[in-house]
Amino acid sequence: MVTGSLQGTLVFKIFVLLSLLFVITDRAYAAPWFTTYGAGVLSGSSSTDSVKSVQPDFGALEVFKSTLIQPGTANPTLIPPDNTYDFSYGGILSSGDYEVFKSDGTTDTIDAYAKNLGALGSALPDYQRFVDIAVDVSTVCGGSCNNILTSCNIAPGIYKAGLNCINSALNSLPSPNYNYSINSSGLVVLVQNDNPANDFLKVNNKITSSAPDKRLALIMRNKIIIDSSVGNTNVPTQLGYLSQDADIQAMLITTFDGDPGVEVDGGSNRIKIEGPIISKGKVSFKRDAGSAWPGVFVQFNPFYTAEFAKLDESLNIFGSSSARWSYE
Amino acid sequence: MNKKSRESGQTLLIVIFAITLGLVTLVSVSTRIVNSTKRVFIDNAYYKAQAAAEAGAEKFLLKSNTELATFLASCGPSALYNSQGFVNPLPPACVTLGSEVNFIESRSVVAVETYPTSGSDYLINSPANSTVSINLEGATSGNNVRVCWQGLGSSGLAYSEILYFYYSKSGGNYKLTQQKYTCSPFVSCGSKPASYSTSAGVESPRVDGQYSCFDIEMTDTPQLLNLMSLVNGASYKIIGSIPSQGYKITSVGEVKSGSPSGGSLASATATRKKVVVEKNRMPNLGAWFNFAVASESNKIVVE
Repeated sequence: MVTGSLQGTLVFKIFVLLSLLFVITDRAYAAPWFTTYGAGVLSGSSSTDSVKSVQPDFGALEVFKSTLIQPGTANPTLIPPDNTYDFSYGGILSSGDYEVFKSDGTTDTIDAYAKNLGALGSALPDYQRFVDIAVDVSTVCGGSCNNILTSCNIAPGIYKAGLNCINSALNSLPSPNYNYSINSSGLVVLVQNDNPANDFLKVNNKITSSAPDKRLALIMRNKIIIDSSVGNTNVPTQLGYLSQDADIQAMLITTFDGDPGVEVDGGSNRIKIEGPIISKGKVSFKRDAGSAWPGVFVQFNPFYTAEFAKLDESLNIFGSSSARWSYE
Repeated sequence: MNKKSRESGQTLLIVIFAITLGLVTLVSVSTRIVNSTKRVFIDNAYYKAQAAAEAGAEKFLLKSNTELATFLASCGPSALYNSQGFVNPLPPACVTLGSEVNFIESRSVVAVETYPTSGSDYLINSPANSTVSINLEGATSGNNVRVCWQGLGSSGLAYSEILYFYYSKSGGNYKLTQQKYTCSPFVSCGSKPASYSTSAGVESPRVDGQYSCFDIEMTDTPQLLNLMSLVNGASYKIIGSIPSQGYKITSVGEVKSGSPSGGSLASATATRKKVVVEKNRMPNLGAWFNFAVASESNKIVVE
């Protein structure tokens, strides 16, 4: 009986202790969060929560101190004399405000660093115009979709294919690295040329490049979903995470206007994606890697922007849009 | 009798006056008709010449940048035009490349050159919350490019903030350097700005007329400069030696000599019209490409 009573007391104490720990942990951990590195975030939504993430303001964390602020920068630098925010970390631009969940469990709504941004100056370009000049990838790769990004070893340029074909190409990347193959340095742009209803691009595995000067851009008309299994938990340090190759080394664009246009599914795997990620519709990050790590980490790679500009310069897709006429 | 004779003289005077008045009116109307007819001829020739010039320019606007680049070597304006009109004969190389665009009664001759002219400032405007792209490929590494801007609202000068995104290449890797410039809150950004920031973040007053200015050091191998104006639009003045930003297409149209609509007016100055089009070689990809995550009209959220 005595032994039973002692056991009961011990169980009760352990229960109380675990409950207390749970409360502490629960307070410290507000919600999943995402961050970017190398560039900021741009939202055309005028909602009061146009950009929503957690700000895990923990002193012990040396790298990802707060949402959307670059590593090592606890607070954004203020530039004198008017003390505006230093934009070198990328910042947030939005037509509305952004909502920050603090570590104490409170929520704050803050103006974007560029205040009164108002409506964005232009609509997302119709990237589907690329279809007009794109090469049908089946004519290059012998009609097979599975080998587009592997044994076909295509040259940099603009290609078109249907949604199922692009899904097959991504699912056929060889494990464990899921490397795609491009025959020389440059950018391969794969444009979706159909628009099936209620369908989507599903990224089930990593998408990685064999070299830093070879990259893939996907321009879709349907929703893009990244599966919960993509990513990993084997990240040694936060600083190491910065130099580690991204799980998705491809630029994702969708002109899908739904909710969401791009979705990173839940789960606890940390996922690192190269940006820009450009969506006409909502971007939803559901990954939850705990309070110390961003569930989704988007690292901007300037390669895509610079190479896209070069590619278009020779093809005249967007360049012809700005011409000034004068009469004499 | 005398009374009748006087009345006859008066009638004659009235008749002569009426005839004179009629003749004057007739001459006046005739002159008007002749002038009007002449003007119709001139107008007709004017519009035909202008239409020919526009058609020539549009034909060249459809050409790729690579094709336009081939015209630069030998088919600039000085090779095709002189003070009398078109160089006669036109350089065969330019004719082969399609510089002469022929129609039944008119023709145009098209020349291609790059802009901005060496040593001159490059002026470009941008609406609010939009991006313009400046080509820096070929610019000298280590030099500065000075960006001067004026905020522009619907009723003139206005407050604006500028983000710059400088893309460079080091080895095989691209880099992005970005910064935001704003005007001092104590001074209107539209009328008398503003501030000038060095790369070290030390500010000192720097203006160029009504423009605020800042310098960007072109580190590594320069590639691209994107400028985004926030809050209001902006008028930019890029100072410093920058590479070609695009192609200036000059198209001169004229009514052919002896054509029915031109008649004797053909080859006169009035029948020759010039159209100049500047075609930017840099694509307008939008602001989206300068951000890690972007949504056109919706939220970016964790949920």
